[in-house]
Order: sequence, then C-alpha cells, then structure tokens
Amino acid sequence: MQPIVMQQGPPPASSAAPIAPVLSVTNVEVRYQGSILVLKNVSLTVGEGEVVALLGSNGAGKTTTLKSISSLIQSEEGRVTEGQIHFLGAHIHNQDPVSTVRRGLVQVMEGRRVLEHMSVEQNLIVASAPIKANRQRLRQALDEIYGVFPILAEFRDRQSGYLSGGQQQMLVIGRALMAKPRLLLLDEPSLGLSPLLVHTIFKSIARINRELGTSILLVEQNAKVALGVAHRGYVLENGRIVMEGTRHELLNNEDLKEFYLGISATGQRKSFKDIKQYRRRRRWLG
Amino acid sequence: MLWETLLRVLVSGIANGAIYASVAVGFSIIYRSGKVFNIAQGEMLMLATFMAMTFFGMGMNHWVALALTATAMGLLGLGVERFVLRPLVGQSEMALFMATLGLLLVLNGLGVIMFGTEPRLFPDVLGTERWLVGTVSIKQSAVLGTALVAGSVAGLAWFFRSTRTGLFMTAVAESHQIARSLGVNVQRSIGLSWAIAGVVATISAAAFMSGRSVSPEIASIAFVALPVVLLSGLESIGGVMLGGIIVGVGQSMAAAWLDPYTEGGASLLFPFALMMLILLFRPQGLFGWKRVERI
Repeated sequence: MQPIVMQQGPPPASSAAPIAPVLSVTNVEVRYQGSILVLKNVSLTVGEGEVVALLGSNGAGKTTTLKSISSLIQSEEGRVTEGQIHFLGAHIHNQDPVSTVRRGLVQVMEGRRVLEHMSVEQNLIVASAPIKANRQRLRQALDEIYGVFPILAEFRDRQSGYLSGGQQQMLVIGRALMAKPRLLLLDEPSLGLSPLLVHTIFKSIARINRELGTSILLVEQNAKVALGVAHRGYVLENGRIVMEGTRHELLNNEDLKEFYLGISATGQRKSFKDIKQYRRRRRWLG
Repeated sequence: MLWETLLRVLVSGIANGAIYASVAVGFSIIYRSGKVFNIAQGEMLMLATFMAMTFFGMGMNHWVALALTATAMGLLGLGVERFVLRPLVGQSEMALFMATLGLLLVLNGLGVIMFGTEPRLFPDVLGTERWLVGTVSIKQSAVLGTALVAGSVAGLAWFFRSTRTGLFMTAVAESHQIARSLGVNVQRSIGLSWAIAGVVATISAAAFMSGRSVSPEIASIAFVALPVVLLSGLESIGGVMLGGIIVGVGQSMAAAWLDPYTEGGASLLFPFALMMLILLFRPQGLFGWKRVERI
C-alpha cells in the first residue's frame, strides 16, 4: 500500500450544497419509552461521497441521532415519533436494523464494540452477514480491509479483546466496511485514544471516503479533528440543530471557535477567567 | 487387580461422561444464543428416545427412524423457540428460565401420558458385541456411542468456529446488539440453536440408549449434565467433552472406591460437590468466557 499523504482538508468535490443526498433526515423527533423527548425537529442531509460531521457536547443527542438513523435505538425502547428518514430513496426509520444494514447503511457504535472473544478475522467474517459471499468473495473482502488497515492483517488470529484501543477502533471501522456500505455512521472514533492515534484513525477515515467513495456521517466531540476531514458539519445542542455550514464556515465561525475549538477572536486560547464574558451566548451549550 | 479396576472405571466413566457431554452441549448451544438456561434439555432427550422407539415399533429401518426423529426434534426445537420463548423477548433471564421450567413440566407430563411409566427396551442400534481387554469386557455400543458423541461435539465446535453461519451464532452469543448492528439476524440464530439442540438430543438418544431399558425418568440425566456445563464453561462447545469425561470418570471412581463405605452415596454426590467447587473457585468454568478486563 502507498503511504498516506495527509491532504490539507478534504477534496473540494462537494463543498457546496449536496447534489444527491444519500441520507436525508427531515424534522425528526425521537422519544424514549414514548415520553422522554431527546431529539426535536432535527433535519440533516448527507450527500453522495460526502463526509458530514455532527458536533456537540455531552448529552446533546448526537448518539441518539445516529441510532435513530440506524434503528438501533429500538433496543433502548426509543422511537422516531415525528418526521422522516430516507436512505437512497427508501423510508428507514423504525425499521428492523438488520434490513437497514442490508440496504448499505452501517453504524460503528461508540466505545470500540469488538466481539471480544473472537479473533480479528472472525470479527470481520461476522460482518459479512449482509452480503452474499462465497469463499472467494469473502477472501477478497477481507483482503480489502487488510489493505486499509495492514495492522489487522498482522493480528488476524489474535483475540480481539486483547488488541490495543487504537487497533480495536481500526477493527470496528474495518468490520463495518465488510458490508460494503454506501453510508457509514461513525460514533466518536476518537474516544479515549491518544492524539497520535486519533490522527491515524482520521487519516484512515479520509482515505476510506476518498478511495472507496463511502459517504460518512461522523459524530465527534473533538470538533477540530472532525472538521479536518469533514466537508460540512452540523452542531447539535439539547436535541436541536443550532448551526450548520461547510467546513470552512464552521472553522471560521466565532462562536464555534470559542466553544469547541477553544480559540478566541484574537486567536488566543481562552482562559477560564474569560468565561463570564461569553456566558450569555451559552445557548449552544447543554 | 488395581489396573483392572482402573480400566473398568475408565471405560464406564468415559462412556457415561460422553452422554453427559451430549446433553451438556445442548445446554450450551441454547444458552449461548439467547442467555436462556434450558432446564428442559433432559426432557428433549426423553422425547427423542421415545419418539425413536415409536418409529422403531412401526417396523422402520433404524437409521430412517433416527433421521425422522432428528427432523421432528429439530422442528420441535424451532416451535419451542417460536411459541414459548420469542413472546418473552426483552423479559428478564429469570422469566425465560421459568418458561423452560414450565416446558420441563409439560414435556414430562406428556411423556408419561404418551409412553407410560413402564420401562421398555430400546433396540440395539449400535450392535451387541462385547470385546475383552484383559478381563474387562467392553461393549461395542458404548464405544460407538462415545465415538458418535465425540464426533458430533467436534463437528459442532468446528461449525461454531469456522463456518459463517456458526460465526454469526457465536457473535449472537457475544452480544445481540453488536450482532444486530452488523446485520446478523439474531432471531433466526436463536431459532437455529434450538433446532440444533433438538437434533443433538436425538444423537444423545441414539448414542446412549442402545440396548437399555428406558422410562420417562431418563430425563433426570440432565441434572448430572449441569455440573458438566458449569465445569466446561457455559459458552464452550468443545470443552463439554473434557468436562463430561472428568465428571463421568470421577463418578465411576467414587462408585468403585467410596460407594462401598457410603452405601452408594458418594457417586451420586460427586458431580454436585464438584459443581459447588467450580462455582466457588472458577465460576466461568474451564473454557467459558471471562470478560476481558482493562484497567
């Protein structure tokens, strides 16, 4: 494999509004157990070949948004009670999550959820469930993943519970690619990883988007690193979308700079002394 | 003299261990898939035994009859999953356990009603020859039965480790949520587990009942299989063979050397004393899954 050269920002392909949305979420409202309202009137789109970041602080509803798209929310007694979610033209909200995966939409859950008693390769084979695979095609799919993450090939027979955090993160992303998804939902891939590993993981994410053409909806607390690979982004607060824009617009937005990137208008890092002065603008924060 | 006793102990211990293992593997397969402890596994063995005998009684070829029984037991397993357990999805593990306890009572009652309590002779499907090793006679049916169980367990272990469908089922055993997020049909895997357990019960019957007189009470053999499952570990498939042999041989040792002083109590007690020790010192068993802890 060629060494990866980190580009300065993503390719300009779809910097404007998306041409053909792969995913469109329209005015969605989500409740847990029929009463606890967690998402209010959320709308977003992901275009073909686009990387979209969904930013926000703890408890803003980022994970819930992903899980309501993938329908995995059902195992937590959550439901989409208003609005619509379309993926490649089909309704996918409140469906069987397995059917959504078969359509080509795979979520990588938060927290590196490997099948810890199974080997790396067994983890990958399980993820071939949605595709009709004979021995040869399975081999091909495995080699493709090993091409993206060579470290996984090296440890293919190791029990995945004993991999390092970064390797586990690569495994769960690689595993999601086994189904050859059109859209990948990534939940906090940087969680609990060292800055160097975060850099490596995000390089891989950019490369997956570029070389495999997979559209990606990315949830992150780390706004800076997320906007490093995303074409566009949304900011979620208290279950509402409060801001949206292209990568460039968001990176240059004063509020976002202060609240998520930790840089003040003068280019200096904010200190806690200054908190009071922008307190009135806390509507973005939960 | 001692060698002779030891050989006899080993032979009967391994043969008994194999039947425990075959019932235990049924427990494991079902437990893995849905975290359901199917206490009625012994009743499935009993049902398979009498179903096969009914087919034999109709004058069928033995192997045809066993194949029919396996099919019917597989369907029964599917039916139990579909109509007893699936309606309880999302309920506590205790509720599922109570459902299988109810299943035990129903099947037990049905067995007595349909087949009576009189012991009947199961035909010699695995031959009647005996071989002499020194002065110890070894039954052909015991050797073939043990081999049949060992082969089936090895086959199942391979299935769950190396085939795609088997790996899907192992993933379901690890986490329903992860399996579902990867597009694995969890419900179908659980149903398939019950069907396999039904077929395994038929194999146990064929391997163990040959030439014995049987009554619906044989279901109680499942209670000795419990220590075997716990010893090998609830999620382990291949491990049940070793667990079964340890329990079987230990039991026949107790029968040979301790029973004369304990009026037959030691061999009855041994498996359960062992079970207590396992639960105290290694609750995940020899090959069971222990969560990987990270600090």
